[in-house]
Amino acid sequence: MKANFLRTATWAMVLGASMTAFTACDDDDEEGTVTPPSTETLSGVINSDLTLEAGRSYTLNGALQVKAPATLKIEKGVTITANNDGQVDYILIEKGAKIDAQGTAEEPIVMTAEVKEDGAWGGLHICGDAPTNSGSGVSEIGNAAYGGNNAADNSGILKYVRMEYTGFAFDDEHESNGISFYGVGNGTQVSYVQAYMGADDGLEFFGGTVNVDHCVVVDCTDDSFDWTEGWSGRGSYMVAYQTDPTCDCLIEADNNETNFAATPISHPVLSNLTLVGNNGEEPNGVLLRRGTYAEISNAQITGKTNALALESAETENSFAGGGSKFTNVAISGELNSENGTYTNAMFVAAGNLANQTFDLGSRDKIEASNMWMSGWTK
Amino acid sequence: MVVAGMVTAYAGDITGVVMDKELNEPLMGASIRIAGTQIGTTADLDGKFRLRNLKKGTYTIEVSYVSFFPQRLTVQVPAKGEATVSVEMMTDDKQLGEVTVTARKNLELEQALMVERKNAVLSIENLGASEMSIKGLSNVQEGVKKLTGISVAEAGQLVVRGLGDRYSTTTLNGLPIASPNPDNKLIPLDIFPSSAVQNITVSKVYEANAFADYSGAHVDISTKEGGTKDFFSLSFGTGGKVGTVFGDFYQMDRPNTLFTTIKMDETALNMPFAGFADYSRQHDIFNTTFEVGKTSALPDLSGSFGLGRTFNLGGGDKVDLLATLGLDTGSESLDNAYVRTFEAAGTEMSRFDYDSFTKKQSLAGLVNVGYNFRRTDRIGVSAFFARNASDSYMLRQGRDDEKRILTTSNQTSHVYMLQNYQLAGNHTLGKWDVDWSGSYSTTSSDEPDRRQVMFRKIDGVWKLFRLNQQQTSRYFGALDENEWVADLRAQYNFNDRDKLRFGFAFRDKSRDFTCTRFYYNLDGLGDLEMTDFYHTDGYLNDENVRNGVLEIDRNHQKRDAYSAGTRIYAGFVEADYYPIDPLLINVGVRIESTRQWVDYFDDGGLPFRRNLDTDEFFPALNLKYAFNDAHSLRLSGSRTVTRPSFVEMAPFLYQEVYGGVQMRGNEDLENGYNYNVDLRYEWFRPSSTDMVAVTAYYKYLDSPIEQTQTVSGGAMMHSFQNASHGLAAGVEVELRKELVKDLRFGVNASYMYTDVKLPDGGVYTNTERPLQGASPYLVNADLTYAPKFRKERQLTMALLYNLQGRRIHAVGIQGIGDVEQEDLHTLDFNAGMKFNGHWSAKVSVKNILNSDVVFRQEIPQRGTDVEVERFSEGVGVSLGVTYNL
Repeated sequence: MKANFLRTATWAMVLGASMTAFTACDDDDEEGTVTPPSTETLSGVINSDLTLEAGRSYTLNGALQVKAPATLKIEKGVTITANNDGQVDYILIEKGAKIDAQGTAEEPIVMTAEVKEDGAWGGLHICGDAPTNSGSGVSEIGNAAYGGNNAADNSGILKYVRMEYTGFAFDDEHESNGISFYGVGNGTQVSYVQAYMGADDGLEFFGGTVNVDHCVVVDCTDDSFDWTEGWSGRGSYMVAYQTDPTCDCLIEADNNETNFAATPISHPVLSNLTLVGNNGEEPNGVLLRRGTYAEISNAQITGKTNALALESAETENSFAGGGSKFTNVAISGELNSENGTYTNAMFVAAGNLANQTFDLGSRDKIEASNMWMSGWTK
Repeated sequence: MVVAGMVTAYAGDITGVVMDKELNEPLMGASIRIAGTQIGTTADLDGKFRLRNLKKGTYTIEVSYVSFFPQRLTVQVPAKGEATVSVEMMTDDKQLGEVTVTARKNLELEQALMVERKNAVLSIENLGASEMSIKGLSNVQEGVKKLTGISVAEAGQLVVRGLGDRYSTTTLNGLPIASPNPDNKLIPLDIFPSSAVQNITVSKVYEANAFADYSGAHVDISTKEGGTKDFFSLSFGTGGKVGTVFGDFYQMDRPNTLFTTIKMDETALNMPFAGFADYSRQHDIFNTTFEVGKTSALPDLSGSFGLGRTFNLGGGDKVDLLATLGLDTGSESLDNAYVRTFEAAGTEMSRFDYDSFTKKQSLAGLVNVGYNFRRTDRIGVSAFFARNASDSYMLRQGRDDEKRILTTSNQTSHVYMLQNYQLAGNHTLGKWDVDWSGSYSTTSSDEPDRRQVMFRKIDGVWKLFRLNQQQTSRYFGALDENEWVADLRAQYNFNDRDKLRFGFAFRDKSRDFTCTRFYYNLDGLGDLEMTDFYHTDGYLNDENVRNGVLEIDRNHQKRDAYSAGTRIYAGFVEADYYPIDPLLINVGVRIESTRQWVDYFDDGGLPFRRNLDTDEFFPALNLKYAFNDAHSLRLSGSRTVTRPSFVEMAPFLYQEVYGGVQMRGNEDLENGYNYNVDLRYEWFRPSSTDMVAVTAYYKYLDSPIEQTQTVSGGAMMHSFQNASHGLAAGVEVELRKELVKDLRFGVNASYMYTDVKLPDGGVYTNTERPLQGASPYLVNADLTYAPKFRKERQLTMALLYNLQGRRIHAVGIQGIGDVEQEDLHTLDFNAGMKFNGHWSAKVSVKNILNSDVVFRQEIPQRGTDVEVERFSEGVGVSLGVTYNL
């Protein structure tokens, strides 16, 4: 596997001590057997397939940019650690390229940082060819194009992947989520992913149709889940848990910031949500606004002054007139709406529960009701 | 009375022209007298004169001028009509050795400039120091705004005939000059104070002997030079903005005055990342705090001195020296201004009210030494230095697009600096004229220590805003440019009028930019309740950094620095040819070989280089048909180029100023080309400044570079693309007229039509629209009254009006319309009194109408528009006194 990779790779791979590395490569080609260095340093542009092997650890030094048609394969148990040199580190999967990261509950793939603090590195960015409502956009970091007409686009597989300490900020407008899905299509499989202690959002969707399940966000200080630009995928088994008082929304959902009526309209279908704040500075729990639609069922939302809120005429109308709906949603406090088009009374009349109390005040309790979190999450 | 009437009825004139035979130039100031009488006059700038109402008969006229042999001529005057003579004066070399020649054209005077303009091969407009003084124009930027079809957009961007900054070019004494402003191609024109300027010449047509990178205007600033007459002057002025002076004035902490640029600990700025955290805890790495002080605004002050001397070396050779130094300080405040944003369906997204307080200081000095020899040759050397510094404090309060109630307290400091050194020579060798020149300039733009603290109101209580770590931060940015220019040209004079010119030019410009941000981690402060936005020393202090309560994170990504350069080799050949007497054909071609490059880093820190290399030719044709001495028609056609700027041609993320728009260049961007046609009719009334000019122009823009918008991770980002094509066409009218003695009226007005079709794929609402910044109409009008009471006592009064038509300020995207700035009317008044040979005084009132500057944005989905920003700049009053030795 390794020898094969070395012959075809054209990517710039820099090793901690690069001389040693390339000597090792030469030896490998000649003799076929050499013990690989225990740590490899990753950075640069990848134009052909690259495999990060199980049982080895990797240091991320700068950006790793995967270009079409290459696939970045990450085997189970791999840990990638972003180094601490003041320069941004991130992984970018461009449109047409793929990531194939399949860990297991016992051996998850972990992407973390040398500095164990939020904002230490720049996270994972995946760009796809599925529709968005923002024209031809480029990724917030990496300047990669995203969005297109292929709703079934496939950017690969993420399974049992934990992102830690993301949220690096270039400046006040450019920060990095745990995982950013840019126009990612529903041919992509995303299951069992976690964002842990990020300084920006946990998972953010910029348009696209990707479906996700078994997602956990813990203590990402901006929004735990965020969507905008017309995301219309499905999400099931989603957990957000906040203990930092500066954490913002549990879900912050937009259709489009500059045009509430832009199409295709954000319209995800979400089920089995456990969203828990700690009554910190930021009042909003699930904030559906700026024209977004949503269908949410089997959800518990608590730990926020304003657990569930609707803003903008477009969003409220979608709940009042169909298109959007809440089914079997339980919240602490009452639903608030900006314009009063869709009221708490209507919410309750549809069989949802307001003013509930929940016994979800710790991570353990949340895990107890979401056993699939066991083993691989933090 | 009767006699006079009869004389009028039966009298003739003697008209004529006095020329310097050797130079074949008019001899302004030559004295013409009828022998044995007191009847006489002097030759005007064209060397022309007229002796009126002479009875029929034979007269002897005497023509004399210092250092020339006097001439006597006999003239027959008819009963009615005129007798015309032509006088050629020979230099009296013997006399030359004894007296000073003071006949060099004074190109500060309006009348002299009119003659230049009339005689120019190209159609030009100009503005001299004396007109600038009468009109109270204190720098070149204020000056060019008074010329036809020119306006200034935000941040000093020059808009000529609707074409933005990228379509114009600036030269200093004919040599290109680097811009220290990364976002503008042109150097900020307010860096050149009137005290250092002889005149401004604006050419809106192209001639092959100039660099071809303009289509709008070529603005040439001529600095003062000595040689006219010895002088020494000292001026002092004061004034201020109504509402600012003596009012409350807020500024953040700064260690010294604006004369110094704020610095930080260089070790901390440049040391390796690994050591910074410790170092920052052990040293007070910044020179400033976030503390905001309140004072009372002092009146503005200005002072300048000028000195001109000529030293005769004998044999007609002389050295002239000129030095000027000027200093200006001023304060401006904006109260109760606001700005808000909307989304496409008409929902207000954010609204902020703000007060801002800006302190400015500009310093400029010029030294110019000329060595004149052989009567025709000159070698000049000049050094120009300018520094514009400003400190600006802003307090913004309002609601952001996340509905958070926020207060932002921030301070920006900006320093532009320019040093320019020129060496130039003009030589006449028989039928050849040879000119050579070279210049070196170094410019810089520093944005040191931009500071920001943000507060947020939660449940009625103000707290430090610490959603992310970037809210309390500092920023240091620095840009440096160096430019070398060399120019050599020769002209062969077949005769007085037919000429052949050719030459070579070299230009090399390089730039380095770097910026670093510092973010404060405030988590250690906990949940402090804030009662005061101004006094922050209690917690944002060095002690808290040392004891670890505050952490400072230094953020300098590789992409936060870039370097770039341009090198151009150019050659041209052109001819002035008169196939028939009234028709001048100026035809030429220029070849430019250009190498432009940018070294930059992508987001991930990988190095890249973008090259843009082109070899091109630029033809130009300028025709002038003179119907007679007063009327002429000009027709010009050319092809010119618009090159991308450094930041536009490479895809790295860039922010002009902290908090400003994010921009990312485009690696596929290519040159745009401009095809220009101009038709102008001109009438200059002889021996006066009365004139009329009417111009029609048409420009076809092939692949023009347009700013575009894209969405990047939900945020707006500006980029650049070649649009398929655009056009700009318009009509301009200019009129100057003496209404009655000493009372003059001037007006220029332009109407323009611009249109650009944008490339597909953008998110902008309108895919076809006028050019950004283009006002469809612009009007300048002025009334000046300048009576002379005694020999040296003179009053000048000027009232100036300007109308800047509605124009696109920002391009709308995602279904929301463009933001347009509304019509803006301004009125200024300026008066000066010269009491005697020594003392003069002036008073000026600017922005008398104090109209609000208003911006509105279309909401197409609601079929309406909304006001999004409004502020007023305030009335400015100033007084000044000048002493001349």
